Amino acid sequence: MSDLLLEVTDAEFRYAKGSAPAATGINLEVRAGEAVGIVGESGSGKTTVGRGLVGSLHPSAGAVLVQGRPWKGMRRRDPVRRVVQMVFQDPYASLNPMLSAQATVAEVVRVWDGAKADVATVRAEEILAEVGLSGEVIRRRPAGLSGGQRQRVGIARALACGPQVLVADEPTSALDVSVQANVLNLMLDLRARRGLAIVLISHDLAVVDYLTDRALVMLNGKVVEQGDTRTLLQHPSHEYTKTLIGSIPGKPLAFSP
Amino acid sequence: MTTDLLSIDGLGVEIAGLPVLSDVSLALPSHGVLGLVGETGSGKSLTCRALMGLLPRIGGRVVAGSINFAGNTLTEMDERGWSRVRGGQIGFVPQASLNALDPVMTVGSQLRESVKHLDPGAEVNARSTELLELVRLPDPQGVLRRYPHELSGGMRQRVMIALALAGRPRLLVADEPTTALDVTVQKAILEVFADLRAASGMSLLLVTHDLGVVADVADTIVVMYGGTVVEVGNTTQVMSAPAHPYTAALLGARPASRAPGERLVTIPGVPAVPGQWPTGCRFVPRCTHAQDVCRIEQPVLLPLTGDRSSACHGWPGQSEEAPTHV
Repeated sequence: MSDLLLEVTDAEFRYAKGSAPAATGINLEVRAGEAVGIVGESGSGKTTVGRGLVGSLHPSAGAVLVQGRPWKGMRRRDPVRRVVQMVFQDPYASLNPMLSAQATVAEVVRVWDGAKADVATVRAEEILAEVGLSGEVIRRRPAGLSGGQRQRVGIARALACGPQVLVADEPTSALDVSVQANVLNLMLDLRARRGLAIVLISHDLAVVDYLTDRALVMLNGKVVEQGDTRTLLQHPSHEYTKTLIGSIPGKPLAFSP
Repeated sequence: MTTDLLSIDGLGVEIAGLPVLSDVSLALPSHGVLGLVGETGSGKSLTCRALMGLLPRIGGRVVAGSINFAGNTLTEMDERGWSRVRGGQIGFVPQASLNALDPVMTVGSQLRESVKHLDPGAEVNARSTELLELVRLPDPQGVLRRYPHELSGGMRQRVMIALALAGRPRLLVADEPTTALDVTVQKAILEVFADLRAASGMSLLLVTHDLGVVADVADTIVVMYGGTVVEVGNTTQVMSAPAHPYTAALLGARPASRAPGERLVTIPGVPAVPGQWPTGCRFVPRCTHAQDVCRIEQPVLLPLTGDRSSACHGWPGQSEEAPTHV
């Protein structure tokens, strides 16, 4: 088997038949262990592509393949679905308010591994420990957790079915810089430890620069530039990429020790 | 008398008897731009609310210190006096102001109402158009006729700033004015602030959690933690050689401060919560340099060389260029 996990070919996405496409001409490959950034501003189509990657939106043209198979028509419990998992921008809105952190993760283990409740609970504890949550905290519901803790629960839930790719849509934009640092360090660790591939969707070029090897810049539903992240940021060729880079606040201080 | 347009001296605030701010001091000269930074819960927004006289609305009151603006002691004023200053001499762009416009009134009617109230001599229509031009909104006539939902986030934020400018303020207080916006829009709005400062000499108190924004626009940076000020100084100097471990940690947590893939500085634990402030330094539970003295005695904000100050008993690992106590 090749290590090609996700393959997007000439994909076009629309939210309704006959409506204008939200993204067109998307080509993207994600291989094991890679970190890919999708950069753009509001309305650029970056979240649409993210939804396409996780199979929550099917392309109206072209194809999205996960380990060589299209999302469309895949059975609910098809093991290929484990391969790609999503981490959301707002963990508060994406977690079940009635479930504790531990129950949230245990539910995924139960469903995907067919584990008994007590086994799933123990396994959930291990996964939460991996993202840095342990003790009494894991028995709290989302309302009792801080923003950073909630995002860790969101990541733990995504990890619970043993994915090979995490698609993270603005995972740190709602967080303080100090909390963001924790989450970014965690994503570095997960990549190193589990060999996870990461697709990071973000408007924040500093975060994309920090975490990814390759990046795509999107504008009005199209990819205007893509390539090695460092090259792209240091020698942008498209005008829009240059504008984006020119808009980063506090640039003179980048990379100062 | 000082020449500062705004000075806050030893401000203490309580909400329902619980201390939420203590010993907050800062000074902003005319034409100056001050960046107020800190994590969620550090007291930045409360400081703004105190300055705007908006504490009673959230059950808060000033229990110590004073706020002085243009020769007047605001903290001694009654609600009427304060409301003459607020909106007029001090403009306010509140946090999450994207949702603060009235959805059933056009931009024009909201703006004209503010101009009538705050700038009685002005020709209302002309001034409304001019305000939208000041914040560089294209097609101001068209925008005046529109409702808030017809505008993008960046446009609505510019309308909010235009409203805050209606009284020709000498000081604009902007609480996270660019946080929810795209970077290109953020840049445009920061340029509007720079223009206003250059054109009218307006001072700006900018609250933000984004140290990059502060680096770009502020002359002075004030760092808050646990409801008090922990460091003050010239922005460039503070950012290149912080004098407080909290400031150093905030700077090290920025992805741009490290090479790709290198671990970022993290601050263990969670921010100090009012009512659970530790004795001694409030940063102690999260500080990697804490010594015995830090747990007993709360450090006060002391002057350092280079016109800076910090509230710290001293910590190893400071940069060579960092200032020392005078």
